[in-house]
Amino acid sequence: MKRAPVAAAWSFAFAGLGLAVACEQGMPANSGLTEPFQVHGAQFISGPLPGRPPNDAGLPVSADGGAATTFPPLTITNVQFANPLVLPGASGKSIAGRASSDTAAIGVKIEGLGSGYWVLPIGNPDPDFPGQSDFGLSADFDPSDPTGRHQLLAVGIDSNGNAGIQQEAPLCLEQRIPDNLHECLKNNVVPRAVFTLQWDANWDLDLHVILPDGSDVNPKQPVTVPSEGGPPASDVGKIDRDSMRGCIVDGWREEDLVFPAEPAKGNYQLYVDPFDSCGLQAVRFNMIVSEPGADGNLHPTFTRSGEFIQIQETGGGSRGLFVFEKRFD
Amino acid sequence: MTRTAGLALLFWAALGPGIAIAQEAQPPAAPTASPSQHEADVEELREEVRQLREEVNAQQADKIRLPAPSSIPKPLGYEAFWPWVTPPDGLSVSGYLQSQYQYNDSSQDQLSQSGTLLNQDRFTIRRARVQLAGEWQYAAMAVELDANTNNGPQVDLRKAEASLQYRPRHLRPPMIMATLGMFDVPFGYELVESPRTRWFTERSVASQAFFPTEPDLGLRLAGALDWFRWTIAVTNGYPAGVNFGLQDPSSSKDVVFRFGFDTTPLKDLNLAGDVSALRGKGFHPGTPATKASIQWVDYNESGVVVPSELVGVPGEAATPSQLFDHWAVGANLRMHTRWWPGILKIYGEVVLAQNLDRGLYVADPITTQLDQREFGWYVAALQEVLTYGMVGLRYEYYDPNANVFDTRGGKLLPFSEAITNISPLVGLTLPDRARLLFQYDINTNAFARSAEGVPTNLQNNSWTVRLQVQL
Repeated sequence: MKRAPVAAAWSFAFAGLGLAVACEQGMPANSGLTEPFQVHGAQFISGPLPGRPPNDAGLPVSADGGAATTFPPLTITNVQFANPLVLPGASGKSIAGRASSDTAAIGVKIEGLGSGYWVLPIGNPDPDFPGQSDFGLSADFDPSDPTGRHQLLAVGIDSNGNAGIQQEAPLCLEQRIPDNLHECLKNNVVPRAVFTLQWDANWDLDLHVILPDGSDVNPKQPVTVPSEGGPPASDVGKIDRDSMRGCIVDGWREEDLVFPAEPAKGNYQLYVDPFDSCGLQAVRFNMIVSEPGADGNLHPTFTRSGEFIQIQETGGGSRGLFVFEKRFD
Repeated sequence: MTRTAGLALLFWAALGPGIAIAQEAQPPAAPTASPSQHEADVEELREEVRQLREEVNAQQADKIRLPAPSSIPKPLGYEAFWPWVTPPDGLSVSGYLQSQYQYNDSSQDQLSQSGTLLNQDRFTIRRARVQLAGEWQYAAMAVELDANTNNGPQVDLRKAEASLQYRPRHLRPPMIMATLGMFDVPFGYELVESPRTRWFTERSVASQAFFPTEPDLGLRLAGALDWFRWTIAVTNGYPAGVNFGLQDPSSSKDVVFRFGFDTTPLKDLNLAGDVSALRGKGFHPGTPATKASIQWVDYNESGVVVPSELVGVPGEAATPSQLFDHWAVGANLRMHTRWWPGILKIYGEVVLAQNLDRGLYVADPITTQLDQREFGWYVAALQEVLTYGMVGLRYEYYDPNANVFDTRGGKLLPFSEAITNISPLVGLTLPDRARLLFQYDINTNAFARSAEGVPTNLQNNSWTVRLQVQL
């Protein structure tokens, strides 16, 4: 007779647990690494940014055109960038601003990109702007983000989850292959040609380009015309960096020979030197030639891929693997 | 057929040819032999057979009495935890293998910033352990090796105990035992409970935070007198799995006391419990001297170096290492009772500690000048179901820091970093040979933030299917 109550107690316990499992509360784990940008110390939340869409009035202003002193609830009163131009793969990009003091948290996202938004608590009240509190965030951008002009949307959220009007702040994402910032600053003229070497593992690869006169341009001799003591002329072709130099991880894994002006006529031989494997087994690379198109933008005109394995590292003993010959007439 | 009859048949089969040969060698029986003489011969043979049968039975009984691991009687409440094990005399080998599949809600197909795997949905060999134990009149030893794939394939030494002991009763724990070597830190119950006999897949979060792994090096004195149990140990204080694990960066040692009881007041009731205390020193590592360097800070985020963005970073002198106090007190209580479905085990443990977290919210009060107060407890129940089944439930709570604050809107707001787990399990067992279990862990924490920016639960539930087979 005593068995039934005990069995019932166990049954109820497990049924309750089953219910608890089915109704799991809280935020799903998502580090946001697949999102177009990540905000340090913030929480990623899937779904649309709360709040009403931005209006055309922009940031609130007073009657005399200065900063407004009274605002509707949950108003973003200011958004600032150290530089609205975002270099590809930029890390630690500073974004700061203020919001009305009824705000408990700030939500941010790039309009039209990603699957959610980032939330972080509002900061201290700003002593210079009564009724407002500061916020600041540090963001990392994915190198594969779509380039061009975008809007950062920010919204104030109160402690009950109510959101105000989203506020826009323009920013521009530059492209990976150097185009003289033409993507965001259209008055800048794109280079005449760019030879790009990109790779996927932390090897020290080097781009070698044999010029028509036979000279070898590489990260150790990075200019097409020696400067004879002074700084190189602005129209001289230059390799922009020695990526993974000494196997120090820099995250770029890319080297570009940029010709700001028309390259000298002749054949240019492109090599990839697997200088150091840095202890890794294999690496895959792309060699890309980019040239201006009819629209004035830079476009890839040639791409070739390849792979090295550890036994092929050269230590600088040769130019490495011949990939392609490009002719300029 | 009974065993006695079988032995008799075997005996006759063995003797049969010999008797036949003997009969052939003998001259034909004299036809003049009287019936009484014949009956006397038969009776003599019968007596001889009876004596031989008794001899065979006695030999067989001796064989059965030879010590074997499974022959050691296991009283109610018996669990293999050291030093209260009762290994067979001489050298013996034992072992077990725990292979499992685990799923976790917080798993992601990504790498962390430090390059570690965020994926936790995987098959693993959780433990594959082999133990060589030696048990003699005044000495004992134990060596245990563990292989696993928790962080890639690895093999570790888990136990290396050399002991002198006085054990007047073979089936009882030693009256006094002195052990030098590598042993499980005798604090509380979970640390010394063998993963071989523990049904829940892992120790509680609090126990894992205080002691990321069980073993440490040191000297242990222990003894059992009737129902009384006592253990005093001096250890390096750096268990495997913590910074400087199984080494010792300081000359100070951790001292651990544990006093308790283990008694069977009724035939179907076993009660046991301990109080434990630990005191020792934590280690705050110093830093080496550095040389001056130049750093570029891209203030205007242009990607171009300008002179005003070059910052000199002066060289820094070495800073000394420092020690800080840590301590813990704990108590646990366990009850085993046998009723109609099988044995029911109910047990619980509570621990209060300061600056002892070395595995989760690692405590180091040197910089903050604030002691980190930790509090953890659990209660659990396990019910054997008709010998071959098991159901269980554990509730656990761990608050890693009672002094923590969150910053929101310019205010310092107290909040709780407490972690709770509710862990139901169901299992099947082949007694002393194999176990198959399913455990679900319902985790509540404060690892995430809500849409309002308030600390909230990160979905971190997990389940595990584990198969254990043992020698």
